[in-house]
Amino acid sequence: MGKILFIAAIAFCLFADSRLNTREWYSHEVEFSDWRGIPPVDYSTNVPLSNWYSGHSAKYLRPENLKQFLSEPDTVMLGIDYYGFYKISCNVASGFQAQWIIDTLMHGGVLVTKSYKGKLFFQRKK
Amino acid sequence: MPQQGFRISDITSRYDPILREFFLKNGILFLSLITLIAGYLRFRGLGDNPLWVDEVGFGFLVQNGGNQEFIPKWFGQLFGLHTEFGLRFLPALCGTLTVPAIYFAVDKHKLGSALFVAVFPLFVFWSRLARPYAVAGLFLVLSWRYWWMMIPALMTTPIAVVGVRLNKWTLGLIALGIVFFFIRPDAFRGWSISLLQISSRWWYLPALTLVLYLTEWEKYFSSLRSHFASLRTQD
Repeated sequence: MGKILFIAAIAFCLFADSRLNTREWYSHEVEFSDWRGIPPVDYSTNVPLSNWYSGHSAKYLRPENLKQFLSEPDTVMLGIDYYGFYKISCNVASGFQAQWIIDTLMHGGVLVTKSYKGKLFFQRKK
Repeated sequence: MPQQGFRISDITSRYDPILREFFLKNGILFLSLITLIAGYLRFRGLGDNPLWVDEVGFGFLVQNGGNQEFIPKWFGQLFGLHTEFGLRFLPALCGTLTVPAIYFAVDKHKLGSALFVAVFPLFVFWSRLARPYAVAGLFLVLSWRYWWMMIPALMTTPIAVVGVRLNKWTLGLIALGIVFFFIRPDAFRGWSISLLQISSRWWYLPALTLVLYLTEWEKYFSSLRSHFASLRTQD
């Protein structure tokens, strides 16, 4: 009986391996976005990733940075990924093409947008 | 006439000696096959996915230096790795090598253990990421045979302590590691050789302190904060 259970466990493991997606956290709570080829951005919802792939140092787009973001005197570039679902970016993005935004972010995409005083001008999705 | 019941154990017990002999004779052949399967599962499309935030943290560690994940960090720096495949290469390689390592480390159920390590999804998952756990896993398995292998395991990640096979050496090192976190590294500078010789137990203390001091582990937590910006609330 033990041998049969072992064979079943190995078969289950191989089945699980075939479905393994390392872009999802294994608890399936987070989908990691594809920041490859991202242009330099000034604010980012995922600073380590945007810094790595753009080579440009960005600031966090998070609730605690909202004042700083809105008081920027010039147009700034934003990079928004899955973390954009957190309240700050959702508020900022309200009124825009919501389904397009959600589809992009849900599938691991990144939105790049220009912003002037909090007003967004979407440029591209990835 | 009594009914003859069918039991699986009748078959397995009949074939057990034959199968055992077959696996024993061809052990290395099967191990090679299992290692190939492990390698395929770990290296298949290794560089296809983009890095995620913790992997990028490791990338910055390789790029800029830091006082953690020493073995994979040194490997990355030695070969100038920065691509997705390059950063994930060592964990995938070590994850694959863990299969023959466990075959040689365990006394019983060698092929079964090797097959389990080769296909278990969590092992495969962590072997495919630019994180140190599969590297530490290889050293840990080797440390079951050679206790000093726990040193590179712990230098790869302190989390490796959970898998250490306990003996007088490893217990001593772990205890001293704990002591280190509560006592300043320079607390032992006043000690003389004669003091150290009074009790052999205390010999470990300055030795480990020296190792940890040289590797600058006292900066471990501050380096975590500097390399993982997500741990900060403000930039």
